[in-house]
This record gives sequence, C-alpha cells and structure tokens, in this order.
Amino acid sequence: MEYELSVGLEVHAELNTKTKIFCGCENRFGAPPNTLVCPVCMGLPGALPVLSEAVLAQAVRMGHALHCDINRVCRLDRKQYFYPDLPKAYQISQNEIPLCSEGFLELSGDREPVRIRIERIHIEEDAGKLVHAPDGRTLVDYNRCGVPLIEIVTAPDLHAPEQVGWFLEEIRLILRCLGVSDCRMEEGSMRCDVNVSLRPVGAAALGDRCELKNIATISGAVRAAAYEAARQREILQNGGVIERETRRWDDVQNKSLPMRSKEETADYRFFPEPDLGTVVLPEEQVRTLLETLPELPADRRRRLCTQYGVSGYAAAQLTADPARAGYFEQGMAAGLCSGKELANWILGDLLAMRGLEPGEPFIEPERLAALAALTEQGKLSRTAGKTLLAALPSSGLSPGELARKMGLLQENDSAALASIAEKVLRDYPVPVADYRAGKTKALGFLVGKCMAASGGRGNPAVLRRILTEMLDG
Amino acid sequence: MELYAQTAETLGRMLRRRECSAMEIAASVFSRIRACEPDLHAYITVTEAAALEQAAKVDEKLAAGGKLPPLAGIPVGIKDNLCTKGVRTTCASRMLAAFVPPYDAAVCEKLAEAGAVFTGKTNLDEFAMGSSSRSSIYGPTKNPLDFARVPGGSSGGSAAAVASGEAVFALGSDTGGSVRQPAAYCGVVGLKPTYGSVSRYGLIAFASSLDQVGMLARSVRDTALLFEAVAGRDVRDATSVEMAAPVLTAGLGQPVEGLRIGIPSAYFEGSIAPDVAERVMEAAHTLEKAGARLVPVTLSSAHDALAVYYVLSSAEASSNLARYDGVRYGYRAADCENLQSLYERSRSEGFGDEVKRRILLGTFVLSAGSREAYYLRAQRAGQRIAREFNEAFALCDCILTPTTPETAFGMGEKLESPLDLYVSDCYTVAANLAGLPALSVPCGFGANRMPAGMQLVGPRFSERALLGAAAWYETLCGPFPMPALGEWRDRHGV
Amino acid sequence: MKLDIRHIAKLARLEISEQEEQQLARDIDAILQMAGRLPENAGAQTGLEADRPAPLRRDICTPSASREALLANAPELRDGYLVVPKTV
Repeated sequence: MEYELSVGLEVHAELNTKTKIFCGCENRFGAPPNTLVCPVCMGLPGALPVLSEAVLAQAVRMGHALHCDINRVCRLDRKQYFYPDLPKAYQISQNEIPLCSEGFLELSGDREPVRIRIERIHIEEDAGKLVHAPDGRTLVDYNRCGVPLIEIVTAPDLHAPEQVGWFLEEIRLILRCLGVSDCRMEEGSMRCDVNVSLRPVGAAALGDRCELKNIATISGAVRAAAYEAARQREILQNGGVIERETRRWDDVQNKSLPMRSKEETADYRFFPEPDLGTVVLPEEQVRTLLETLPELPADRRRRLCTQYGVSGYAAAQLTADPARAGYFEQGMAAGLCSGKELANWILGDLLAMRGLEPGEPFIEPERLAALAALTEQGKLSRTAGKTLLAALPSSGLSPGELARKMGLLQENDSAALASIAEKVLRDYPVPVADYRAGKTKALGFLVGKCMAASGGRGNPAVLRRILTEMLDG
Repeated sequence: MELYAQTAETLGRMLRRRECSAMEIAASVFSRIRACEPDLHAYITVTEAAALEQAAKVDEKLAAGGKLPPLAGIPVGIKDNLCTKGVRTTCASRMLAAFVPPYDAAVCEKLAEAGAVFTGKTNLDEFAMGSSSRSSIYGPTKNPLDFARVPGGSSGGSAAAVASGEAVFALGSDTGGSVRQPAAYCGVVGLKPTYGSVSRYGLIAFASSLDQVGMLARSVRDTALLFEAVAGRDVRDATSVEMAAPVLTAGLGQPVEGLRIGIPSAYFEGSIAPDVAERVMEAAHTLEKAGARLVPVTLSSAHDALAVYYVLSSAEASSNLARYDGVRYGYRAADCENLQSLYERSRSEGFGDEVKRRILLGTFVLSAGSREAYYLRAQRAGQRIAREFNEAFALCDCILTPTTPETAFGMGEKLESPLDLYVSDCYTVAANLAGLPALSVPCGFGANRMPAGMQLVGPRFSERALLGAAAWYETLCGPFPMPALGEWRDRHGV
Repeated sequence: MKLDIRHIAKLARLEISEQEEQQLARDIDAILQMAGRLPENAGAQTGLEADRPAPLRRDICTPSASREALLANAPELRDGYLVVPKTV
C-alpha cells in the first residue's frame, strides 16, 4: 500500500517592532531577566492591554505578501490555560476572526511549482521564558511576554519533507525582505510546529495527524517531517492505527517522542477579549500597505533572470539576502560586465571563498564590476583576478590600473605568445612527440610551460589554440 | 455642623474663604473615623499620616495665594480594589492581603492631581463579588443606620464611610450594582457612570465589560464633582472614551424643562417590597407635580437580566482571576512540591467561597460543550436587553426604577443560598449589561426606617441629564438626611 | 452539558473537598437553571462593533516601574528571575 504525505505548518514569527504588542515595553532580545517588563506584560492586578498599530500594519503587510484576504474588522480573543510563562493565565490571540485568511505561497523556480494555501495569519502575544535550574526549581523571565507574534497556518499542502524546507526558507526570506521579522531561529524569533499525516494514495480524506513541537531550525523541521512520515508509514503498513497526538521533536536523537504530560485536548475556553474591543482597519490604510510593499523575493528572482540574464540558481542565491541583490544591481548599474560574470564573482569569490557578505564593506560593487569586466574580456585570468581582488581594497587604483601595475594583465597578443610557444616546443621535444603520438594530455603540460614562461600572464585559451595550430600544422 | 458632615462643595467654599483649613477638615474626618470604626468597620486601611501631609500641602498652597485645584483638601475614601501605589490593596481577600501595588490607578492619579486627601481603603466583598460586604476576610462592614443590618455591597465600606461622615465622598466600583445598591441601603447618592467614561486602569478587574469605577456622596452636586474629577479618556484603557461635556454646572439643581421619565412596570412587579415601591412612586409623583412627565415604557427582558449577568460576569471573572496563582504576587501556599499543587493550593487557600463559586460557574459556562448553551446565549440576551433600553429612550429622557427590591436586610439574612443574595441586584444589573449610566438617589425611608433608593438610568453619556433630574429632585425635597450614628443604640436601648 | 464539578475545578486550578463538591454543585446548578431559561434565539450576534473601533498605541517605548518595584511582591526570586517549583 502506497501512502501520500500531507504536512501542514504553524509558523510563529516575532515581529521586530520597537515595543511589545500591548504595552510600551521595549521589544528586545537578550536583556537581563525581568528588565523589559511593566504591569501590563507582567499581568499585575488592574493592568490593561492596548493594541499596537505597528503590529497590525506588519501583520497586514505579511498578509498581502501571501495574497491573503485582510479582515478589516476583527477582534482579539483570550486563550486560557495555566503555565508559569503566561502571567495572565490567558494569551491574547485571535480565534474566530483572524486578521488575514485564505492566501497562498507559490514555491517555484528550478523546482516543480507547488502552491501552498495559507489558511490564516493572526496576531498574538508571546509568553515568557522558562529556565530549568539544576536544583529542580524553574526560573521565569517575563521579558519575552507580550512580544508580538504572527502565526501563519498553512493547509496540509506540503507533500514532501524538502518542501517543508523550501517553504520555511521562503517565508523567512519574505519576512526579512518586508522587514517584519529578523527570523533568527536560534534566538527563537521564528518557530515552527509541523503537522504530519499519511493517507493511502488516491484517498479523499486526510489521515489522522500528529503535531510535532520543539523544532528549532529549518533543517530540524525537514528531518522531523521525514522522521514522522517514516514512523507513521511503518505503523500503517503493519496494520496499525495512528494515534492523534502532540509529539516532541528531539533534535539530538533525531526522533519524535510522545509528550510527557498526556493531557486530553486542552479546553482553551476562548472568548472575545473585552479590554480590546473591535479592531477596525481603514480601507485606505490597507490599500496603502499593499501598494508600498517592497519587491517580493519571487518577483525579484524572476526579474534578475530576465533583466540580467543570470541563471535561476544564481538569482535564488542573490535574492537570499536583500543586501546581496542590492549589491549586484548596483554593480550592474555601472554597465561594465554581464550579469553572469558579476554573479560568479559575488557568489563564487566573495561569498564562497572569503565568506563575506557583499554588505560587509570589502569592495565597492562598481570596482568588482570593473574587475569582472576584465576577466570577461579575457584581459585577466581567473587566478590573476583572485589575486587582484585581494589587493584592491587597500588600493585607491581602479582594477585595470592596479592589474597593470601588478603585472597581472593577461598577455593576449598572439605574436608575443607565438614566440613563447615556439621556444617551449623547441625546449620540450618529448611532450611534443607524445602529443603527436596521440597523448592529448601532453598539451596541458605544454600550456603550463608557456604560462610559466610568460610569468603567468599568458592567456591559456589563446596559448592552447596557438600550440594546437603549431603542433597539428 | 461638624466639618466631616459638610458637603465637598461647602467645604471647598469654606476653604477658599479661609473659614477653615484643610488640616481642620482632615482632623475632623479622622476623629470621626476613630469614633465610628469600632462599630462600623468601613475601612481596611486608614492612611492618616499621609492624608495629613496632603492636607498640609493644600494649606501651604492656600497661604501662598495659589489657585486650588477642584477637590483640594477634600477627604475621599477609596475602595480597596483600586490600586494605590505604596499602600496595600487587598480586595478584601487573603489572596492579596500583602499586595502593595507599584503603581496608582488612573482615578487615584486624577484625584491626587485634583488635590484630594486620601482617607484610606474601604472595605468590600472579596474581589467585589457580593451584595453585603460580608465576604471580606477582614469582617463585615455595618450599616450606619442600623448595626444589625448590612450596608450592601460590594462597595459597602465606601457607602458606610460616606453615610457616617468617615469620608466626605468615596470611590467604589460597580459591576452589577455594587455602588448603587449600597448607596440605596445607606441613604447616600451612588453613580455608576457610562461604561468607558472613567478609566479602569488600576481597577482590579472582576468583569471587564461590566466594571466601572463609581462615585458615592451625600449630595447630587458632590457626586457630579467627584465624577468630573476622575472621568475622561486614558490612553492606558482602550475601552475609555473622552468625556462629552462637564456635568457640574451652576444650573445643576434647577428644574429640568420637559423632563420625560420612563416608568417600566416590569420593575414594580414581582418580589418588590411594597414600602419601597411606594417611596419610589412618591418620588416620581414629586417630580411630576413639579413639571416632569411620566411615560410608561416596556422593558420586557428585564427578568432575564439577572441570569445574563451571572453567566457573563462569572465567565469574565473566572478569566480575570486566573492570574492569581502565587507566582508573581499574592498568596502562595507553603511547601508546594510541584507546580500543580502550587496553583491549586494557593488559589484554594487564597480565595473565599463566593469567589470560588463564581470562578467555577464562569469556567463551566465557557467550557467546551457549554459555551453555546450558556455563554453565547447569555451574550445575545444581554444585547437584546441593551436594544430594549435604547428603544425605550426614544420615548423618555431617563428611566426611573427602584434601586433594590427591599431596604437593607439583616446581617444574618440571605446566607442560605447564593441566589437569595443575587436577587437584590435584579434592578441594577441591566445598566451594567447595557453600559448605561445609572444613579441611585435616596427617596425616603421604608417601613423599618431604613433608607429606600430610586434609580435613574439614562442613555450612554447622559450623566448630565441624570444628575440634572436627581439634583432637581434634591432641591424639591431638601438635602438628603445624614444618619445619626448610634441610632441603632438608641433604638435598641443600648 | 452536565456539570462535572471535579473537571471544572481542575480546569480552574481549584481544589475542592468532597463536602464542598456537593454544595457547590447544588449552588451552581441553581444558577444554571435560571440561565437555562434564557431565550434560545434572541437575535443574531457578531459581537463586532465596527462603529466603535478600539484605539491603538503608537510604537514608542514608554518608561515603566523598575524591576525592583515590579518584583517587590514576588514570593520567591533568584538573580532577577521568579521561581516556581518544577513544572512537571
């Protein structure tokens, strides 16, 4: 029996507003415990919440980016349960009428396109943090209480573990691109719960699902989905039944475990938050937020390909960080080289070799573009280019001038190269004979000797052509 | 007349004319407190030292020729569910017996700005849940007119303090009648303003959509003075709105041209005591003879109001009181092995019976399976009650009803079943459900020589009209009598 | 739905003795009976008041009381944290 995987995600992202959602406390990570608190977020008697307009705006922008309907008139609800990180013993969230509903995110590019439906996005407040002390007591820090969250809930439209990774990467990219959240999973500003179910291929109804919590990284989410799919598959194939439950993902052991406290489905006793009334967003404001959205990653990737001729892969890499794409476009504005060449230098050298983000002040984009022009035109070999790149930051000269000064410019002149080639052919008769005998690899040796004779400046492609002509001719 | 027995308006005039000093006013009130408290027990905390400092500052300002703020030097009592920075705020509960708020309620800030002198924190039913002030862990407050009777609740301490002169006026809170009912039982004026007209920031919440800070005073004009000092929008309370216009005008007390008073027959049937019904109708006829018009109105859903109130207020209370868990403040049970035990024992030991009963009721009506049948149904019925009032106001400017079905009952009465006690709220709860302003005004005495109160209810933000009608009535009948303390002793030959 | 006092007490984190249980159930049932007589269909309800929008806050930091003041009522503290028994 073949089974089809369905995965739905609940992604929580902390918004990077200056203040918390219901009070004027600073929204900041890493402060000493209980120093960013006030009567409201600590749930002191008599304190009252007041909703932040910035939180609404950021949530609406994310809703627009995911093509959602914006519910201009909505409200907040109390979700009630007892836990030490929840000072009021209720979380102010949205239950019946979320701020955004019925959107989608398309995952495409090099991969098979798939559309993931977004069921809802709602706003809510975060809870505090618990630290378990060695002596068995639990320590509570309320700094994080009241930090604004958006919760993005998808339909179970993800059908493979890798899709989980793509989706989360794209969500993270969009959130960063919009400036809504910095999405640092290691700081907890983006969290994800994964809902997994299997059903026989072709069956209409979804199977029983399990929810996996305690996932701290995107790769963890992918592995959790894969593990859970395998676990459920094995049970079903052995004729068993999936128990609907919430499980805890253990990243170290790489498995999901039943959660320790097996409670019946929690009764959250939702009811409308009486202290906050009705939220009404003016039509005009919603429209303005849509019109002022920055270019979304999917659109940027497409545009980089069509406008600059870079490959889909390169476009994705460049778009992965707004700073990279901006750097690239600034370099291209100089009009000196092709998109492909500049992209190679950014992705290959700056990033891959030096581990530098273009945002970090290493070299101005226009100068890199000038260097790329030199290599593209064959005036500089790739190796020489790397040397030049290292030297450029501390020099005031243009790449062309510095290359000339350092003697890095490639020798392209056929006549000069021809005379070098002639000499090498005379000096190394054995490889010449080998080549003529059919060992084409000997050519490489000869090219190398010519390169050495030219002080590394010979254009290897031209040398190869000249040697081949001389040897064959 | 002793200073403590004067109205705030009179005292204000006397101060500015240098006929007395703020210190003398304060001294008079605190001496009255010392004399009455052993019997009355209206206060949980008396703040004499701080009050005398505040009074001294007022006298300094007066001496320096400065302009005095509106409530300068007037001693005011504060119900002990309003946060006062640095002064314990207990809600008459073991749960908060040691709680000292790090901040002031908005209304306390405003009173301080207005120059008032704080006498102390008055007694109440635990967490403002009750109609007799007997559920306070500090013991009951007595009715100043008859120590064998209750002062009403939950703002019994404030009402008794005002009636006896232990404060010139006082703040209370009203969720289902907790300011109006004790005002009626003690023979003073009690106002529950329009929902949203006074900030709830710092009022320890019972039922968020029904709670309002209320005013208790011995005259209608004093009530208006106190209301104006604390009303207005507060950015810290998202349900608070800006005040429309001042209510204390020179004309307050003059006849109200063309006043139409709605009389709902449903409020004069059923369990109402005949003597109370008579007093209230007499008051209506007094106004009618003076030129007002009585108009019959229909409020047929009145009989649903009590059930709606207890479902909705308990639901919200169960949520608002969930934060009392022994973690950040409040009572924590000793030697708790684990978290569950910490929660259960702290809450069970910290809360009294009535509070627990309401939390359980509220939790139930919100729980899965019950929400539709109880909570949502009550919500809808509450909205219908509000609609009915709005329709009635097309025919009249205000609606007149008895405040309570009977006068103050005995200390030992209505202890059998909670429902017996709940019934005393039957005329007051609708105004909270509809968010409307409502005022209780003394209108004579019942058969047992205990005060009777009439209630005036108006459309939202009609405080000016309500106070106008009440002040007109007060002009016609003369100032409301202040009870003589010890009358009980006289009456019973002690 | 029938009133299961034990279950409700658990939800509300309240401990009630066996004696209390009976009396409480009786008291609450009496009120529920009263509530059960409310009209079934008193009209539609969205609960939303679009004509009275709630005011919003600007994204500006406002000062608050010090940590000492806010934690002054805490039963147990350690290095600036509040302390509770283990959460199992």
